[in-house]
Amino acid sequence: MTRRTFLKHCVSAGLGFATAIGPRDLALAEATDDVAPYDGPYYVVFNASGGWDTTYLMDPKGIDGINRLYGQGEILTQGAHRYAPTAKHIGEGMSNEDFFSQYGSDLLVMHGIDLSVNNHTPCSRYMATGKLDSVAYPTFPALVAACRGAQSPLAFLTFGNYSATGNLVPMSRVPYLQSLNLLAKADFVQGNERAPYHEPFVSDRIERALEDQFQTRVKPSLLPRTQRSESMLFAAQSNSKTLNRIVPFIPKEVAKKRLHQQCDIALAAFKAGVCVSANLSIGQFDSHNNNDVDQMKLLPEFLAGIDFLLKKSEDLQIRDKLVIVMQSEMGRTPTYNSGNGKDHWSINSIMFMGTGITGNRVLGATDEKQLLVPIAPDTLNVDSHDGIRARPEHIHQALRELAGIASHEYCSQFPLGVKDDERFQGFWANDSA
Amino acid sequence: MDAVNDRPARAAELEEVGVVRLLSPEQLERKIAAVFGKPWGRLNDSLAILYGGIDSLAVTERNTDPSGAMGAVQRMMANDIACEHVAADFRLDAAQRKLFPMIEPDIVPGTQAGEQAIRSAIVYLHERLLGHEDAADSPRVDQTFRLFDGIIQEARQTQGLEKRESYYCGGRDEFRSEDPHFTLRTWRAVITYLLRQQAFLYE
Repeated sequence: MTRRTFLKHCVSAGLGFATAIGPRDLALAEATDDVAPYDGPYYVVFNASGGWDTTYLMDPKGIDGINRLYGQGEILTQGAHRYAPTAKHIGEGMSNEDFFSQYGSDLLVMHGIDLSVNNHTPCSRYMATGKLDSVAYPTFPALVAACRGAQSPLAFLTFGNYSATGNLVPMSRVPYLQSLNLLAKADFVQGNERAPYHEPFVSDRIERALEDQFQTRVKPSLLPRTQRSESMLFAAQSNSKTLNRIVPFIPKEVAKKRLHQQCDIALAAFKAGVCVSANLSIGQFDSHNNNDVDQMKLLPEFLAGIDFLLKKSEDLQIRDKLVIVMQSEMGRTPTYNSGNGKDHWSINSIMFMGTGITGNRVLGATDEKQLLVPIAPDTLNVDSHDGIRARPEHIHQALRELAGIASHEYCSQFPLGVKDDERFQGFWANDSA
Repeated sequence: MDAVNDRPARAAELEEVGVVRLLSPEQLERKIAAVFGKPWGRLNDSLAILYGGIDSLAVTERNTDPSGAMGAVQRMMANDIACEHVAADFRLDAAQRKLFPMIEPDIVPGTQAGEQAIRSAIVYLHERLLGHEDAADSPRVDQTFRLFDGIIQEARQTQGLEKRESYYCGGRDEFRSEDPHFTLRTWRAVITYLLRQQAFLYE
């Protein structure tokens, strides 16, 4: 009996589906040697961890002392976008000028997102999951990985920041590019393909013996937790063998920048068809002291990472399959504190680009005091009188719809509670893109 | 506890029953040290994050479910530990061995005495590595014995196999273990097989 046949028999016998975690187990337990490589879309979430200053990026103010580095008259535009001038204030990295001129036509920006609170942990959770009052919810990249390709060995890659999975899909952490080589060649001494640990026929017999052992073990008499762990373990080891697909796409040289390194790992995994989503992150944005110095160092590094991903994805011919979310867990106050820093601010902005997203658009707004302006969910126009306060759950509802998973059973397990008349209509503008 | 999943209501009742937890990198290293006499050493170092560990900076939550990457680390660990310890253990006096105190490399299946000795050795390994107290004729021992016997039989029919353990697993430059019956490499396969099982990797 093949592994897949055995699993199908489990399904027909009700094994696994009798429990709350059953369908998930079966999805995970399908071995990828029977499954085609995942072919996209690939979801990437860039996190500016610590809280970015939106007024030095895509929501410029330049008035009432909100920004010391530029005035209102210096604000720049690119199509529909308004952005802060940064070119003359930065050392390394990518200026806003370069970023918006290159990507403004692809970029969708949303302003005026109400986080309700201003502490790092709940804000990170809220932005990542769309749910403020639960620690059980999966992040969007974990959710989409579970729905789209949980059987992929690195379905959900994460490099830090809030990464909860809702127990839908395992998270994979691959901190170094060199690690990919080791993982891909686990059956060879120190990854040396000329030195296999076992003769091929021996390896084959070990795998078959483990499969027999799994088939014997996973039966209805096991407790659900034990059954689940057996299934997860078998799937993890079986599916890990397809990591050898990644070898041709591992760059020869390791990038110097931290975000570039994460991009290289994610791109190799995407191209190899072993990954659905990646949660990328750089920290230290929490600029309570010397806000302008820190933000002028970190925002250009953040944008340079996005630029790196986009350019390398072109080389790999997968750019048209990327969906990119650019976010931070909070904004920063419109006033400076006594240490020239800015503290936490619960009104945020977010940026998107990629397949299915019409760019050169700006939705929502903040006023001259960096306070939220309500938005009409049906027209997406600002509407101070009858509009609603946009919150992360509205964004996540739209993301689920973009990914085509809004009606998936996993999304039903983790409802966002957005009323029908509060769902953003035409948020991505081009549903067929 | 029979047929818990035959009835959905009963399965739901038992959903939270029992403790089944993947060992953390640190716990797994300690277990390897306890069983084999020394830690692997790589789970506390370069592979810690890959195996779901934390660095208390960027990564502050442990993985509770194994990913494909962790599955690869488990394969690597099982291969490497078996490689390091099997031939080395057989080189010790039987009384000093941790893994094979009651079997010698020249014992092969084919006779009743041979099969009995091999099954006894498997029983010992099941208890030492997995914590299972299995009878020599139990289904679990049958499965492991079939692996052992199958490899030996196929090795006999395979042309061109070296009569020595591999360079990396046979002692490298210090010594190079002779393996005319392919038993060292077969016991190494058995250890690899056992180390990849839930009973070793979970608590």
